[in-house]
Amino acid sequence: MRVLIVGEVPFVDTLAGICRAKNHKVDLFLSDDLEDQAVLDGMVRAATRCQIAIESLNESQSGKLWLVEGIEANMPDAAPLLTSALAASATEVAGWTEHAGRVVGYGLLPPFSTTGLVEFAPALQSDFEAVSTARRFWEELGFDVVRVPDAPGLVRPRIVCGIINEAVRTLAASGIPANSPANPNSEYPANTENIAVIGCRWMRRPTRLGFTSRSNTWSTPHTSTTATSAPTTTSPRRRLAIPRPPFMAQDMPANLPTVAPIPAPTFPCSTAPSVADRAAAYPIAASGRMTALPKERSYNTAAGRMGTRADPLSKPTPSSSRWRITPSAAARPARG
Amino acid sequence: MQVAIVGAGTMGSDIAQAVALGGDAIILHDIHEHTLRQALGRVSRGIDRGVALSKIDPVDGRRAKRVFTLTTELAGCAGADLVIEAVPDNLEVKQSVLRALDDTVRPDAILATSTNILSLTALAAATRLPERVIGLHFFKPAAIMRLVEVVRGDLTRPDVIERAVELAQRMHKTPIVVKDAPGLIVNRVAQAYFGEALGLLDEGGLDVPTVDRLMEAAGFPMGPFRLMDFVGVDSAFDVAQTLYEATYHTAPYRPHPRLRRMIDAGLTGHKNGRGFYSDG
Repeated sequence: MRVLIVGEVPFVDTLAGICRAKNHKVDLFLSDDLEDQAVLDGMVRAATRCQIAIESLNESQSGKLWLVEGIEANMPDAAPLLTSALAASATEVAGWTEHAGRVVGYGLLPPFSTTGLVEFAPALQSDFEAVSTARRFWEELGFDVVRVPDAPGLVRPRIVCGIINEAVRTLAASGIPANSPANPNSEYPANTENIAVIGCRWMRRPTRLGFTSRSNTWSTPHTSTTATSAPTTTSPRRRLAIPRPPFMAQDMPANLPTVAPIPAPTFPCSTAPSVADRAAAYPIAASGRMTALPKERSYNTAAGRMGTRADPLSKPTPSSSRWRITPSAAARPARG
Repeated sequence: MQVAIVGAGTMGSDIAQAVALGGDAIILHDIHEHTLRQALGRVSRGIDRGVALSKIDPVDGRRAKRVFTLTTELAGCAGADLVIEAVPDNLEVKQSVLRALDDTVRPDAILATSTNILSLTALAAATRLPERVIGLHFFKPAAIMRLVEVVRGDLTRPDVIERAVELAQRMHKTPIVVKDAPGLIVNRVAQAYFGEALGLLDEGGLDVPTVDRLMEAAGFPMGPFRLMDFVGVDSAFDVAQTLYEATYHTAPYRPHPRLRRMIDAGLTGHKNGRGFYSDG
């Protein structure tokens, strides 16, 4: 099966590894790389030939909408779209699409492997065919499929978020300096995270429950799968510079800071630009080319097309072109 | 160090086992002689099991069984350097025990309470020397679980904390000094675990085994409902109630009505065989 996977590291490359191990042909795209128009075009091309698409962009709803709309507009009609139900429920995501019946939600909590368990959340609009295909896909990957009600965060992320929030609140109220000794002559792991780990015998510290380091990610020896895998489009840039949702943290201090946190920058933020932030600042127009990132002004959308879908084209064209109307220089609004 | 333990129930006997294995002499007190005998049997079986599993050195195990002195009189604890009370978590009961111990033991002896929900400062206020009162919060099963929250009251002296920490280390525990606050640390974080899981049940579409299965697959040794059965549904409710009251009715700590109903129905978990799951 040809699988399109788009989203954030380390989640998507782990998933891609699992898919390759099952002899699926994988087209993998990292969300951060989609800022590059050439990569974006490659993703659009991959979408046109995929048999199943997996989307995992959770940094914001607007970024997710931008991506889902772009993938869905180019997918074959019969292909299901599996959407990570963290930032939005599958039902909500399905509402963004033209073929809502093909959208099926899922939830994976990293680090995961084929011995793990996937939360399976069909949208209210999901059709039987898509649900069946999606379930079979996860099962064939080796996941234990557990059906859960469709809601943002599903089950495990909701509980884990509650634990993380309480750990941080407790640390703030406890008076315990992070990672400080209990007395000057001893070296106790005196911080809230370690206490929860030891006291509750939890596997990981609360603030690390959603954390997967690169070294922990699932990996398949590529030599064993390259012969059966399609060429995979990946970028040399493996780390996203964008802020991450809690479950996709790339780097996180082992211990929480004891100093007062620096207030979050107000929007617009020049230090942490992200796909989502910029997407959020830009009206989503279904018509027109899927541009890498919305710029400050809508230079990429044809005049008069803002917020409307393109008329159906009678002449068969590649989907990526269907989704594209390159504005003419004359139509381009003047700056200022 | 001579350590006295007042209250020979499950928690008291488990603490006694850990103290004995640490090499300290034990005075085990309970008002009922048969409870003391049961406690000694529990300790003995626990040590034997540890030896069989190679968790306890056989020599240490044999020595630990010989360090017990049993008494039904509080005066029998008079010579102790440190007394740990492990009586039921009730303010009046604990205050009366601490008050009696305050009159019984030497002025330089440390008084430790095993509460996890009552205010240490409020308990210490029942004694004449509150600066020698400290909290030692063990986790079930206390003979096995490594963590001990060493609770510092508002008036607790630093040297008292140090001696309690040293004792915990001899018991092969990991002591963490925390300030006296509702729920301390572990119970507060655990409440988030329980509360969100109960909220998910409310929303429908999920059942208890599914939620536990999901969380256990994510690396938690016990799902939230299995854990509540283990610690006791009533204990989970009491902690939530205490947190809720102590935080001036902060919403996240509000006890879940389902727990109240379960307690009313006698579904308190493993201790009586029925909770979210039935042992039978």
